[in-house]
Amino acid sequence: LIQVDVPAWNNGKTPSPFPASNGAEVIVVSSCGWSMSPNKVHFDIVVPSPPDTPKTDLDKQFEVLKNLAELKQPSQFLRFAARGSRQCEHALEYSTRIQFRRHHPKWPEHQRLEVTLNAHSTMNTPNNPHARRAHVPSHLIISLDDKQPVIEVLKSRVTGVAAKAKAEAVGEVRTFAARAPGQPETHVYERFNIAAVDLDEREADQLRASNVLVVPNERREVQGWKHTAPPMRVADHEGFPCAPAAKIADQEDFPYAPRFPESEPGEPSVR
Amino acid sequence: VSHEIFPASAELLSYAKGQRDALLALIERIESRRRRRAPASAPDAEAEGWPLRMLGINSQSPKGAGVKVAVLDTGIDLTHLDFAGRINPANCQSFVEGVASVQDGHGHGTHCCGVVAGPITPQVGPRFGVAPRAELIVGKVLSDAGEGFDSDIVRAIAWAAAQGAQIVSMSLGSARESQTAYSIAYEQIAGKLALDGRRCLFVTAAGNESQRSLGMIAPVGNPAACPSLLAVAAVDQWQRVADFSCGEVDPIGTLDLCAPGVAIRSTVPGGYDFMSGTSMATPHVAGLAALYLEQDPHLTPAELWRVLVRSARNLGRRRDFGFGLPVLS
Repeated sequence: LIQVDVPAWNNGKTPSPFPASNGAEVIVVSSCGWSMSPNKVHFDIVVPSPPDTPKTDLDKQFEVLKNLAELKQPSQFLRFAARGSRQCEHALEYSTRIQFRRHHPKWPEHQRLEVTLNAHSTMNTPNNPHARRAHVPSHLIISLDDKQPVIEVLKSRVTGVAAKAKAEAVGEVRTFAARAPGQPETHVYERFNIAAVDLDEREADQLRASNVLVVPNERREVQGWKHTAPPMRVADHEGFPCAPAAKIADQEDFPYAPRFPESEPGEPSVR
Repeated sequence: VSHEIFPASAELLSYAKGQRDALLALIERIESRRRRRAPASAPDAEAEGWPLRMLGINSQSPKGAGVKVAVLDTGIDLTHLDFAGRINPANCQSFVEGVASVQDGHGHGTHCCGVVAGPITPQVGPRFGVAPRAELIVGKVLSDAGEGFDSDIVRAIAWAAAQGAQIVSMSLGSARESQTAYSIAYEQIAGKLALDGRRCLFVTAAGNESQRSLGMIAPVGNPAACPSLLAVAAVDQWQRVADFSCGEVDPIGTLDLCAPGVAIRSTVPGGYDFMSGTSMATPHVAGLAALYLEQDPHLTPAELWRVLVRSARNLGRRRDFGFGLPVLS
Protein backbone atom coordinates (compact mmCIF):
# COMPACT_ATOMS: atom_id res chain seq x y z
CA LEU A 1 0.00 0.00 0.00
CA ILE A 2 1.45 3.27 -1.05
CA GLN A 3 0.23 6.60 0.15
CA VAL A 4 0.53 9.24 -2.50
CA ASP A 5 -0.35 12.83 -2.06
CA VAL A 6 -0.93 13.69 -5.65
CA PRO A 7 -0.69 17.47 -5.55
CA ALA A 8 2.57 17.20 -3.65
CA TRP A 9 3.83 14.62 -6.02
CA ASN A 10 2.72 16.72 -8.89
CA ASN A 11 5.22 19.42 -8.17
CA GLY A 12 7.91 17.18 -9.54
CA LYS A 13 10.14 17.51 -6.52
CA THR A 14 9.26 14.22 -4.97
CA PRO A 15 10.27 10.99 -6.64
CA SER A 16 7.73 8.59 -7.99
CA PRO A 17 6.32 6.46 -5.19
CA PHE A 18 5.60 3.63 -7.53
CA PRO A 19 8.00 0.72 -7.56
CA ALA A 20 10.21 0.50 -10.59
CA SER A 21 11.45 -3.00 -9.85
CA ASN A 22 8.93 -4.60 -12.17
CA GLY A 23 9.71 -2.21 -14.90
CA ALA A 24 6.69 -0.35 -13.73
CA GLU A 25 6.83 3.27 -14.37
CA VAL A 26 4.01 5.64 -14.12
CA ILE A 27 2.10 8.28 -15.91
CA VAL A 28 -0.71 9.78 -13.93
CA VAL A 29 -3.31 11.64 -15.87
CA SER A 30 -6.17 13.33 -14.15
CA SER A 31 -9.14 15.23 -15.32
CA CYS A 32 -7.64 18.38 -13.95
CA GLY A 33 -4.61 18.25 -16.11
CA TRP A 34 -1.82 16.70 -14.07
CA SER A 35 0.59 14.72 -16.09
CA MET A 36 3.53 12.88 -14.67
CA SER A 37 6.01 10.61 -16.34
CA PRO A 38 8.78 9.80 -13.90
CA ASN A 39 10.66 7.27 -15.93
CA LYS A 40 9.30 5.05 -18.64
CA VAL A 41 5.78 4.27 -19.71
CA HIS A 42 3.99 1.24 -18.44
CA PHE A 43 1.03 2.40 -16.42
CA ASP A 44 -1.66 4.86 -17.08
CA ILE A 45 -3.65 5.89 -14.07
CA VAL A 46 -6.51 8.28 -13.91
CA VAL A 47 -7.02 10.01 -10.64
CA PRO A 48 -10.65 9.49 -9.80
CA SER A 49 -13.30 12.01 -9.10
CA PRO A 50 -14.77 13.15 -5.77
CA PRO A 51 -16.20 10.93 -3.06
CA ASP A 52 -18.37 8.04 -4.06
CA THR A 53 -17.47 8.36 -7.68
CA PRO A 54 -20.08 6.37 -9.54
CA LYS A 55 -19.16 3.56 -11.81
CA THR A 56 -20.22 5.57 -14.81
CA ASP A 57 -17.50 8.07 -14.09
CA LEU A 58 -15.00 5.31 -13.68
CA ASP A 59 -16.09 3.93 -17.01
CA LYS A 60 -15.44 7.29 -18.59
CA GLN A 61 -12.02 7.38 -17.04
CA PHE A 62 -11.48 3.88 -18.25
CA GLU A 63 -12.15 5.13 -21.74
CA VAL A 64 -9.40 7.66 -21.24
CA LEU A 65 -7.12 4.90 -20.08
CA LYS A 66 -8.03 2.81 -23.03
CA ASN A 67 -7.29 5.60 -25.43
CA LEU A 68 -3.94 6.10 -23.83
CA ALA A 69 -3.19 2.42 -23.87
CA GLU A 70 -3.97 2.16 -27.52
CA LEU A 71 -1.20 4.56 -28.16
CA LYS A 72 1.19 2.19 -26.50
CA GLN A 73 1.27 -1.56 -26.11
CA PRO A 74 -2.09 -3.09 -25.32
CA SER A 75 -0.45 -5.99 -23.59
CA GLN A 76 0.91 -3.61 -21.03
CA PHE A 77 -2.43 -2.06 -20.48
CA LEU A 78 -3.41 -1.66 -16.93
CA ARG A 79 -6.81 -2.54 -15.63
CA PHE A 80 -8.11 -0.90 -12.54
CA ALA A 81 -11.02 -0.78 -10.20
CA ALA A 82 -11.98 1.59 -7.47
CA ARG A 83 -13.12 0.22 -4.20
CA GLY A 84 -15.26 2.82 -2.64
CA SER A 85 -14.11 6.08 -1.28
CA ARG A 86 -14.02 8.02 1.90
CA GLN A 87 -14.81 11.63 2.37
CA CYS A 88 -12.26 13.55 4.35
CA GLU A 89 -13.14 15.96 7.07
CA HIS A 90 -12.51 18.84 4.82
CA ALA A 91 -15.28 19.22 2.33
CA LEU A 92 -12.94 19.91 -0.52
CA GLU A 93 -10.77 16.89 -0.02
CA TYR A 94 -11.32 13.34 -0.89
CA SER A 95 -9.54 10.09 -0.74
CA THR A 96 -10.01 7.20 -2.99
CA ARG A 97 -8.29 3.89 -2.94
CA ILE A 98 -7.60 2.44 -6.29
CA GLN A 99 -6.42 -1.05 -6.89
CA PHE A 100 -4.28 -1.62 -9.90
CA ARG A 101 -3.41 -4.86 -11.50
CA ARG A 102 -1.47 -5.19 -14.61
CA HIS A 103 -3.17 -6.99 -17.45
CA HIS A 104 -0.28 -9.05 -18.64
CA PRO A 105 0.42 -12.78 -18.51
CA LYS A 106 3.79 -12.21 -16.94
CA TRP A 107 2.34 -10.20 -14.13
CA PRO A 108 1.88 -12.67 -11.27
CA GLU A 109 -1.61 -12.95 -9.97
CA HIS A 110 -0.69 -12.07 -6.43
CA GLN A 111 1.22 -8.97 -7.37
CA ARG A 112 -0.87 -5.95 -7.33
CA LEU A 113 -0.25 -2.34 -6.89
CA GLU A 114 -2.48 -0.73 -4.34
CA VAL A 115 -2.45 2.97 -4.18
CA THR A 116 -4.25 5.39 -2.00
CA LEU A 117 -4.50 8.74 -3.58
CA ASN A 118 -5.17 11.64 -1.30
CA ALA A 119 -6.07 14.47 -3.55
CA HIS A 120 -7.72 17.76 -3.09
CA SER A 121 -11.01 18.14 -4.82
CA THR A 122 -10.67 19.07 -8.42
CA MET A 123 -14.28 19.91 -8.85
CA ASN A 124 -15.89 23.29 -8.63
CA THR A 125 -13.34 24.84 -6.39
CA PRO A 126 -12.26 28.07 -7.98
CA ASN A 127 -9.34 28.63 -5.69
CA ASN A 128 -7.84 25.23 -6.11
CA PRO A 129 -5.01 25.70 -8.58
CA HIS A 130 -5.59 22.20 -9.87
CA ALA A 131 -9.26 22.78 -10.42
CA ARG A 132 -9.31 24.92 -13.47
CA ARG A 133 -7.81 25.14 -16.86
CA ALA A 134 -5.77 28.19 -17.53
CA HIS A 135 -7.81 31.05 -18.90
CA VAL A 136 -11.03 29.92 -17.30
CA PRO A 137 -12.67 32.51 -15.05
CA SER A 138 -13.10 31.42 -11.48
CA HIS A 139 -16.53 32.84 -10.76
CA LEU A 140 -19.84 33.77 -12.27
CA ILE A 141 -21.40 36.97 -11.03
CA ILE A 142 -25.15 37.10 -11.25
CA SER A 143 -27.28 40.13 -10.60
CA LEU A 144 -30.89 39.25 -9.99
CA ASP A 145 -31.93 42.89 -10.08
CA ASP A 146 -32.37 44.32 -13.54
CA LYS A 147 -31.85 47.80 -12.16
CA GLN A 148 -28.38 46.77 -11.10
CA PRO A 149 -26.45 45.77 -14.22
CA VAL A 150 -23.69 43.40 -13.33
CA ILE A 151 -21.23 45.30 -15.47
CA GLU A 152 -21.70 48.40 -13.35
CA VAL A 153 -21.11 46.40 -10.20
CA LEU A 154 -17.92 45.01 -11.67
CA LYS A 155 -16.70 48.39 -12.72
CA SER A 156 -17.18 49.76 -9.27
CA ARG A 157 -15.87 46.81 -7.33
CA VAL A 158 -13.28 44.96 -9.36
CA THR A 159 -10.06 46.69 -10.20
CA GLY A 160 -9.19 46.65 -13.84
CA VAL A 161 -12.38 45.30 -15.30
CA ALA A 162 -13.57 48.62 -16.63
CA ALA A 163 -10.17 49.66 -17.85
CA LYS A 164 -9.72 47.50 -20.89
CA ALA A 165 -12.83 46.90 -22.89
CA LYS A 166 -11.45 44.71 -25.62
CA ALA A 167 -14.22 44.20 -28.08
CA GLU A 168 -17.82 43.45 -28.55
CA ALA A 169 -17.62 39.72 -28.93
CA VAL A 170 -20.24 37.19 -29.86
CA GLY A 171 -23.73 38.57 -29.91
CA GLU A 172 -24.47 40.31 -26.69
CA VAL A 173 -21.36 39.28 -24.84
CA ARG A 174 -18.85 41.96 -23.96
CA THR A 175 -15.30 40.85 -23.49
CA PHE A 176 -12.69 42.59 -21.39
CA ALA A 177 -9.01 41.95 -21.65
CA ALA A 178 -7.30 40.03 -18.88
CA ARG A 179 -6.52 42.16 -15.86
CA ALA A 180 -3.08 40.65 -15.49
CA PRO A 181 -0.85 38.33 -17.51
CA GLY A 182 -2.01 34.78 -17.19
CA GLN A 183 -5.46 35.72 -16.02
CA PRO A 184 -8.49 34.86 -18.11
CA GLU A 185 -10.56 37.46 -19.83
CA THR A 186 -13.74 38.82 -18.31
CA HIS A 187 -16.94 38.14 -20.18
CA VAL A 188 -20.10 40.06 -19.45
CA TYR A 189 -23.34 38.61 -20.75
CA GLU A 190 -25.33 41.76 -20.64
CA ARG A 191 -28.68 40.37 -21.56
CA PHE A 192 -28.44 37.72 -18.89
CA ASN A 193 -26.94 40.12 -16.33
CA ILE A 194 -24.21 37.58 -15.71
CA ALA A 195 -20.45 37.98 -15.83
CA ALA A 196 -17.61 35.47 -15.81
CA VAL A 197 -14.64 36.90 -13.96
CA ASP A 198 -11.45 35.67 -12.37
CA LEU A 199 -11.63 36.81 -8.77
CA ASP A 200 -9.70 36.35 -5.60
CA GLU A 201 -11.57 35.78 -2.36
CA ARG A 202 -11.33 39.41 -1.29
CA GLU A 203 -12.93 40.57 -4.52
CA ALA A 204 -15.57 37.88 -4.29
CA ASP A 205 -16.50 39.02 -0.79
CA GLN A 206 -16.68 42.62 -1.95
CA LEU A 207 -19.02 41.67 -4.72
CA ARG A 208 -21.23 39.64 -2.42
CA ALA A 209 -21.61 42.77 -0.35
CA SER A 210 -22.95 44.46 -3.48
CA ASN A 211 -26.03 42.31 -3.46
CA VAL A 212 -25.01 40.11 -6.36
CA LEU A 213 -24.62 36.37 -6.37
CA VAL A 214 -21.08 35.11 -6.69
CA VAL A 215 -20.90 31.45 -7.60
CA PRO A 216 -18.08 29.22 -8.79
CA ASN A 217 -17.64 28.79 -12.51
CA GLU A 218 -18.53 25.17 -12.33
CA ARG A 219 -17.20 22.37 -14.39
CA ARG A 220 -19.67 20.35 -16.47
CA GLU A 221 -19.12 17.18 -18.36
CA VAL A 222 -20.75 14.88 -20.83
CA GLN A 223 -23.49 12.66 -19.48
CA GLY A 224 -23.01 9.69 -21.75
CA TRP A 225 -20.40 7.13 -22.64
CA LYS A 226 -19.80 4.42 -25.15
CA HIS A 227 -21.88 1.40 -24.47
CA THR A 228 -20.32 -1.97 -23.94
CA ALA A 229 -21.51 -3.41 -27.21
CA PRO A 230 -19.17 -3.31 -30.17
CA PRO A 231 -20.39 -0.98 -32.89
CA MET A 232 -22.59 -2.01 -35.76
CA ARG A 233 -23.94 -5.27 -34.53
CA VAL A 234 -26.26 -7.11 -36.85
CA ALA A 235 -28.60 -7.65 -33.95
CA ASP A 236 -29.30 -3.95 -33.84
CA HIS A 237 -31.28 -4.20 -37.04
CA GLU A 238 -33.60 -6.55 -35.29
CA GLY A 239 -34.24 -4.20 -32.48
CA PHE A 240 -31.89 -5.64 -29.92
CA PRO A 241 -29.06 -3.24 -29.59
CA CYS A 242 -26.58 -4.91 -27.40
CA ALA A 243 -26.80 -8.64 -27.87
CA PRO A 244 -23.49 -10.06 -26.74
CA ALA A 245 -23.38 -12.46 -29.64
CA ALA A 246 -19.79 -11.74 -30.48
CA LYS A 247 -18.50 -13.33 -27.31
CA ILE A 248 -17.75 -10.06 -25.65
CA ALA A 249 -16.26 -11.71 -22.64
CA ASP A 250 -13.70 -13.45 -24.78
CA GLN A 251 -12.42 -10.31 -26.33
CA GLU A 252 -9.04 -9.53 -24.96
CA ASP A 253 -9.57 -5.84 -24.79
CA PHE A 254 -13.13 -5.82 -23.57
CA PRO A 255 -12.92 -3.29 -20.82
CA TYR A 256 -15.96 -4.12 -18.77
CA ALA A 257 -15.29 -7.72 -17.92
CA PRO A 258 -15.25 -8.25 -14.17
CA ARG A 259 -11.57 -8.33 -13.43
CA PHE A 260 -11.90 -7.70 -9.74
CA PRO A 261 -14.90 -9.62 -8.54
CA GLU A 262 -13.71 -10.06 -5.02
CA SER A 263 -15.15 -7.50 -2.68
CA GLU A 264 -14.44 -6.39 0.77
CA PRO A 265 -17.25 -7.03 3.23
CA GLY A 266 -20.03 -4.61 2.67
CA GLU A 267 -18.58 -3.24 -0.52
CA PRO A 268 -20.03 -3.86 -3.93
CA SER A 269 -17.84 -5.39 -6.54
CA VAL A 270 -16.91 -2.83 -9.11
CA ARG A 271 -16.77 -4.09 -12.62
CA VAL B 1 -11.36 -13.40 -19.92
CA SER B 2 -7.74 -13.87 -19.21
CA HIS B 3 -7.28 -16.76 -16.82
CA GLU B 4 -3.95 -15.44 -15.72
CA ILE B 5 -5.79 -12.59 -14.19
CA PHE B 6 -8.62 -14.47 -12.64
CA PRO B 7 -8.10 -18.22 -12.75
CA ALA B 8 -10.89 -19.01 -10.33
CA SER B 9 -13.41 -17.56 -12.69
CA ALA B 10 -13.23 -20.31 -15.35
CA GLU B 11 -16.15 -22.24 -13.96
CA LEU B 12 -18.17 -19.14 -13.35
CA LEU B 13 -17.41 -17.93 -16.82
CA SER B 14 -18.54 -21.16 -18.36
CA TYR B 15 -21.78 -20.94 -16.43
CA ALA B 16 -22.27 -17.33 -17.49
CA LYS B 17 -21.68 -18.20 -21.11
CA GLY B 18 -24.29 -20.90 -20.90
CA GLN B 19 -26.76 -18.45 -19.43
CA ARG B 20 -25.92 -15.95 -22.10
CA ASP B 21 -26.40 -18.42 -24.92
CA ALA B 22 -29.73 -19.49 -23.50
CA LEU B 23 -30.83 -15.88 -23.25
CA LEU B 24 -29.75 -15.18 -26.81
CA ALA B 25 -31.63 -18.18 -28.08
CA LEU B 26 -34.74 -17.02 -26.25
CA ILE B 27 -34.41 -13.53 -27.68
CA GLU B 28 -33.94 -14.89 -31.16
CA ARG B 29 -37.10 -17.00 -30.81
CA ILE B 30 -39.09 -14.00 -29.59
CA GLU B 31 -37.76 -11.78 -32.34
CA SER B 32 -38.40 -14.29 -35.09
CA ARG B 33 -41.93 -14.79 -33.80
CA ARG B 34 -42.47 -11.06 -33.74
CA ARG B 35 -41.19 -10.75 -37.30
CA ARG B 36 -43.51 -13.49 -38.47
CA ARG B 37 -46.47 -11.78 -36.86
CA ALA B 38 -45.66 -8.36 -38.33
CA PRO B 39 -48.18 -7.42 -40.99
CA ALA B 40 -46.81 -7.76 -44.47
CA SER B 41 -48.14 -4.33 -45.35
CA ALA B 42 -45.93 -2.58 -42.81
CA PRO B 43 -43.67 -0.73 -45.21
CA ASP B 44 -40.85 0.19 -42.91
CA ALA B 45 -41.31 -1.78 -39.74
CA GLU B 46 -37.57 -1.98 -39.27
CA ALA B 47 -36.62 1.28 -40.94
CA GLU B 48 -36.48 3.03 -37.58
CA GLY B 49 -34.45 1.90 -34.65
CA TRP B 50 -36.20 0.91 -31.44
CA PRO B 51 -35.76 4.31 -29.78
CA LEU B 52 -37.72 6.01 -32.53
CA ARG B 53 -40.41 3.36 -32.49
CA MET B 54 -40.66 3.81 -28.75
CA LEU B 55 -41.29 7.52 -29.30
CA GLY B 56 -44.01 6.77 -31.82
CA ILE B 57 -41.98 7.95 -34.80
CA ASN B 58 -42.27 6.33 -38.19
CA SER B 59 -41.63 7.27 -41.78
CA GLN B 60 -44.87 9.25 -41.95
CA SER B 61 -44.03 11.42 -38.96
CA PRO B 62 -42.91 15.05 -39.24
CA LYS B 63 -39.19 15.46 -39.79
CA GLY B 64 -38.56 18.72 -37.94
CA ALA B 65 -38.32 20.87 -41.05
CA GLY B 66 -37.85 24.55 -40.35
CA VAL B 67 -36.95 24.05 -36.72
CA LYS B 68 -33.57 25.12 -35.36
CA VAL B 69 -32.10 22.89 -32.68
CA ALA B 70 -28.90 23.82 -30.91
CA VAL B 71 -26.71 21.05 -29.56
CA LEU B 72 -24.21 22.35 -27.04
CA ASP B 73 -21.70 19.59 -26.52
CA THR B 74 -18.28 18.39 -27.68
CA GLY B 75 -18.94 19.48 -31.27
CA ILE B 76 -19.67 17.44 -34.34
CA ASP B 77 -17.74 15.38 -36.85
CA LEU B 78 -17.96 17.70 -39.82
CA THR B 79 -16.67 14.98 -42.13
CA HIS B 80 -19.29 12.40 -41.23
CA LEU B 81 -21.14 11.30 -44.33
CA ASP B 82 -24.46 11.42 -42.52
CA PHE B 83 -24.02 15.17 -42.07
CA ALA B 84 -22.45 15.88 -45.46
CA GLY B 85 -23.88 19.10 -46.84
CA ARG B 86 -26.23 19.50 -43.93
CA ILE B 87 -24.19 21.59 -41.53
CA ASN B 88 -24.09 25.31 -42.17
CA PRO B 89 -20.66 26.61 -41.08
CA ALA B 90 -22.36 29.76 -39.83
CA ASN B 91 -24.23 27.56 -37.37
CA CYS B 92 -21.08 26.15 -35.83
CA GLN B 93 -18.87 27.76 -33.25
CA SER B 94 -16.39 26.61 -30.65
CA PHE B 95 -16.44 28.17 -27.20
CA VAL B 96 -13.60 26.10 -25.82
CA GLU B 97 -10.51 28.09 -25.02
CA GLY B 98 -7.87 27.59 -27.65
CA VAL B 99 -10.03 25.43 -29.90
CA ALA B 100 -11.13 27.07 -33.11
CA SER B 101 -13.10 24.30 -34.76
CA VAL B 102 -16.22 22.47 -33.67
CA GLN B 103 -14.70 19.23 -34.94
CA ASP B 104 -15.54 16.60 -32.36
CA GLY B 105 -12.55 14.79 -30.95
CA HIS B 106 -14.59 13.07 -28.26
CA GLY B 107 -17.58 11.54 -30.02
CA HIS B 108 -20.29 12.49 -27.54
CA GLY B 109 -21.42 15.61 -29.39
CA THR B 110 -21.55 13.84 -32.73
CA HIS B 111 -23.66 11.13 -31.14
CA CYS B 112 -26.12 13.65 -29.72
CA CYS B 113 -26.30 15.52 -33.03
CA GLY B 114 -27.05 12.22 -34.74
CA VAL B 115 -29.90 11.48 -32.36
CA VAL B 116 -31.41 14.91 -32.90
CA ALA B 117 -30.99 15.18 -36.64
CA GLY B 118 -29.41 12.08 -38.09
CA PRO B 119 -30.55 11.43 -41.66
CA ILE B 120 -33.66 9.56 -42.69
CA THR B 121 -31.44 6.97 -44.33
CA PRO B 122 -28.08 6.68 -42.60
CA GLN B 123 -25.14 5.25 -44.46
CA VAL B 124 -25.51 2.06 -42.46
CA GLY B 125 -28.34 0.64 -40.42
CA PRO B 126 -31.75 1.87 -39.40
CA ARG B 127 -32.74 5.46 -38.84
CA PHE B 128 -31.89 6.95 -35.46
CA GLY B 129 -32.33 10.68 -36.07
CA VAL B 130 -35.53 11.96 -34.49
CA ALA B 131 -35.81 15.16 -36.54
CA PRO B 132 -33.76 14.56 -39.69
CA ARG B 133 -34.79 17.79 -41.36
CA ALA B 134 -34.19 20.05 -38.39
CA GLU B 135 -31.47 22.64 -38.75
CA LEU B 136 -28.59 21.94 -36.42
CA ILE B 137 -26.78 24.68 -34.55
CA VAL B 138 -23.63 23.24 -33.06
CA GLY B 139 -21.82 24.87 -30.18
CA LYS B 140 -18.68 23.19 -28.92
CA VAL B 141 -18.71 23.94 -25.20
CA LEU B 142 -16.99 20.81 -23.93
CA SER B 143 -13.42 19.98 -24.79
CA ASP B 144 -12.36 16.77 -26.46
CA ALA B 145 -11.88 15.44 -22.94
CA GLY B 146 -15.63 15.90 -22.46
CA GLU B 147 -15.55 18.74 -19.98
CA GLY B 148 -16.20 22.44 -19.95
CA PHE B 149 -17.20 25.33 -17.77
CA ASP B 150 -20.32 27.35 -17.15
CA SER B 151 -18.69 30.47 -18.55
CA ASP B 152 -18.29 28.82 -21.96
CA ILE B 153 -21.76 27.33 -21.87
CA VAL B 154 -23.42 30.61 -20.98
CA ARG B 155 -21.60 32.23 -23.86
CA ALA B 156 -22.75 29.50 -26.20
CA ILE B 157 -26.35 29.85 -25.09
CA ALA B 158 -26.22 33.56 -25.88
CA TRP B 159 -24.83 32.73 -29.29
CA ALA B 160 -27.34 29.97 -29.98
CA ALA B 161 -30.23 32.24 -29.03
CA ALA B 162 -28.86 34.88 -31.39
CA GLN B 163 -28.72 32.22 -34.11
CA GLY B 164 -32.41 31.63 -33.63
CA ALA B 165 -32.28 28.31 -31.83
CA GLN B 166 -35.75 27.23 -30.74
CA ILE B 167 -34.62 24.20 -28.82
CA VAL B 168 -31.33 23.88 -26.95
CA SER B 169 -30.19 20.35 -26.17
CA MET B 170 -27.59 20.14 -23.43
CA SER B 171 -26.38 16.64 -22.65
CA LEU B 172 -24.06 17.89 -19.97
CA GLY B 173 -24.02 18.55 -16.29
CA SER B 174 -22.48 17.76 -12.98
CA ALA B 175 -23.59 16.01 -9.86
CA ARG B 176 -25.57 17.85 -7.23
CA GLU B 177 -25.91 16.84 -3.64
CA SER B 178 -29.37 16.37 -2.27
CA GLN B 179 -31.03 19.49 -0.89
CA THR B 180 -28.51 21.79 -2.51
CA ALA B 181 -29.57 24.57 -4.80
CA TYR B 182 -30.03 24.47 -8.52
CA SER B 183 -27.85 26.64 -10.72
CA ILE B 184 -29.07 30.22 -10.48
CA ALA B 185 -27.16 31.18 -13.62
CA TYR B 186 -29.02 28.80 -15.91
CA GLU B 187 -32.34 29.62 -14.34
CA GLN B 188 -31.70 33.30 -14.88
CA ILE B 189 -30.74 32.68 -18.51
CA ALA B 190 -33.90 30.72 -19.25
CA GLY B 191 -35.98 33.39 -17.57
CA LYS B 192 -34.31 36.24 -19.42
CA LEU B 193 -34.70 34.57 -22.78
CA ALA B 194 -38.37 33.98 -22.09
CA LEU B 195 -38.83 37.62 -21.11
CA ASP B 196 -37.07 38.74 -24.28
CA GLY B 197 -39.50 36.75 -26.37
CA ARG B 198 -36.77 34.39 -27.52
CA ARG B 199 -38.32 31.00 -27.96
CA CYS B 200 -35.81 28.64 -26.47
CA LEU B 201 -36.77 25.40 -24.84
CA PHE B 202 -33.86 23.98 -22.85
CA VAL B 203 -33.65 20.21 -22.67
CA THR B 204 -31.03 18.86 -20.30
CA ALA B 205 -29.67 15.55 -19.05
CA ALA B 206 -30.76 14.58 -15.56
CA GLY B 207 -27.42 12.94 -14.80
CA ASN B 208 -25.90 9.49 -14.48
CA GLU B 209 -24.84 9.30 -10.87
CA SER B 210 -27.32 6.68 -9.69
CA GLN B 211 -26.53 3.05 -9.10
CA ARG B 212 -30.04 1.78 -8.78
CA SER B 213 -28.97 -1.85 -8.81
CA LEU B 214 -27.17 -1.08 -5.56
CA GLY B 215 -30.10 0.88 -4.18
CA MET B 216 -28.56 4.27 -4.71
CA ILE B 217 -30.54 6.97 -6.49
CA ALA B 218 -28.68 10.21 -6.99
CA PRO B 219 -30.48 13.54 -7.24
CA VAL B 220 -30.97 15.29 -10.54
CA GLY B 221 -27.78 17.18 -11.32
CA ASN B 222 -27.15 20.70 -12.47
CA PRO B 223 -28.20 22.41 -14.64
CA ALA B 224 -31.06 19.96 -15.13
CA ALA B 225 -32.31 20.72 -11.62
CA CYS B 226 -33.29 24.23 -12.69
CA PRO B 227 -37.07 24.56 -12.76
CA SER B 228 -37.07 26.21 -16.19
CA LEU B 229 -34.96 23.54 -17.83
CA LEU B 230 -36.56 20.31 -18.89
CA ALA B 231 -34.82 17.39 -17.15
CA VAL B 232 -34.72 14.06 -18.93
CA ALA B 233 -34.14 10.64 -17.41
CA ALA B 234 -33.07 7.55 -19.34
CA VAL B 235 -34.92 4.31 -19.95
CA ASP B 236 -33.84 1.20 -21.75
CA GLN B 237 -35.39 -0.74 -24.57
CA TRP B 238 -37.81 -2.40 -22.19
CA GLN B 239 -38.90 0.94 -20.77
CA ARG B 240 -37.19 0.31 -17.47
CA VAL B 241 -35.41 3.17 -15.82
CA ALA B 242 -31.70 2.99 -16.52
CA ASP B 243 -29.49 1.91 -13.66
CA PHE B 244 -27.50 5.13 -13.81
CA SER B 245 -30.37 7.55 -14.31
CA CYS B 246 -30.70 10.23 -11.65
CA GLY B 247 -33.99 10.51 -9.84
CA GLU B 248 -36.22 12.98 -8.13
CA VAL B 249 -35.03 12.50 -4.59
CA ASP B 250 -35.52 16.03 -3.35
CA PRO B 251 -38.01 18.78 -4.18
CA ILE B 252 -35.32 20.87 -5.84
CA GLY B 253 -34.30 18.65 -8.68
CA THR B 254 -37.45 17.49 -10.37
CA LEU B 255 -37.61 15.09 -13.28
CA ASP B 256 -39.81 15.99 -16.20
CA LEU B 257 -39.61 13.29 -18.84
CA CYS B 258 -37.77 10.15 -19.75
CA ALA B 259 -36.55 8.87 -23.09
CA PRO B 260 -34.41 6.08 -24.52
CA GLY B 261 -30.89 6.33 -23.16
CA VAL B 262 -29.39 2.87 -22.99
CA ALA B 263 -27.40 1.41 -25.87
CA ILE B 264 -28.41 4.08 -28.32
CA ARG B 265 -26.92 3.80 -31.78
CA SER B 266 -25.95 6.99 -33.51
CA THR B 267 -23.16 8.73 -35.33
CA VAL B 268 -19.67 9.02 -33.91
CA PRO B 269 -16.62 10.38 -35.68
CA GLY B 270 -15.86 8.00 -38.50
CA GLY B 271 -18.90 5.79 -38.15
CA TYR B 272 -21.50 4.65 -35.68
CA ASP B 273 -21.48 3.43 -32.13
CA PHE B 274 -23.69 2.71 -29.17
CA MET B 275 -23.70 5.07 -26.25
CA SER B 276 -25.60 5.17 -22.99
CA GLY B 277 -26.53 7.94 -20.62
CA THR B 278 -29.12 10.56 -19.93
CA SER B 279 -27.09 12.40 -22.55
CA MET B 280 -28.66 10.13 -25.12
CA ALA B 281 -32.17 10.57 -23.75
CA THR B 282 -31.90 14.33 -23.94
CA PRO B 283 -31.56 14.70 -27.73
CA HIS B 284 -34.46 12.31 -28.20
CA VAL B 285 -36.69 14.73 -26.33
CA ALA B 286 -35.13 17.72 -28.10
CA GLY B 287 -35.79 16.08 -31.45
CA LEU B 288 -39.32 15.20 -30.47
CA ALA B 289 -39.90 18.80 -29.46
CA ALA B 290 -38.73 19.80 -32.94
CA LEU B 291 -41.35 17.54 -34.48
CA TYR B 292 -44.07 19.12 -32.38
CA LEU B 293 -42.73 22.54 -33.29
CA GLU B 294 -42.95 21.68 -36.96
CA GLN B 295 -46.57 20.74 -36.47
CA ASP B 296 -47.29 24.03 -34.71
CA PRO B 297 -44.56 26.63 -35.17
CA HIS B 298 -46.37 29.09 -32.95
CA LEU B 299 -45.85 27.13 -29.78
CA THR B 300 -44.03 29.03 -27.08
CA PRO B 301 -41.44 27.15 -25.03
CA ALA B 302 -43.93 26.86 -22.19
CA GLU B 303 -46.60 25.51 -24.51
CA LEU B 304 -44.12 23.14 -26.10
CA TRP B 305 -43.16 21.92 -22.64
CA ARG B 306 -46.82 21.27 -21.85
CA VAL B 307 -47.36 19.47 -25.15
CA LEU B 308 -44.46 17.17 -24.41
CA VAL B 309 -45.65 16.45 -20.91
CA ARG B 310 -49.22 15.87 -22.07
CA SER B 311 -47.98 13.42 -24.67
CA ALA B 312 -46.04 11.45 -22.08
CA ARG B 313 -47.00 7.90 -21.34
CA ASN B 314 -46.79 7.10 -17.67
CA LEU B 315 -44.17 4.44 -17.10
CA GLY B 316 -44.13 4.41 -13.34
CA ARG B 317 -43.04 6.43 -10.39
CA ARG B 318 -42.55 10.13 -10.89
CA ARG B 319 -39.20 10.11 -9.16
CA ASP B 320 -37.85 7.64 -11.72
CA PHE B 321 -39.59 8.60 -14.94
CA GLY B 322 -40.87 12.13 -14.40
CA PHE B 323 -44.16 12.48 -16.23
CA GLY B 324 -43.17 9.60 -18.46
CA LEU B 325 -42.14 8.84 -21.99
CA PRO B 326 -43.25 11.45 -24.53
CA VAL B 327 -44.80 9.90 -27.61
CA LEU B 328 -45.50 11.62 -30.90
CA SER B 329 -49.22 11.95 -31.44
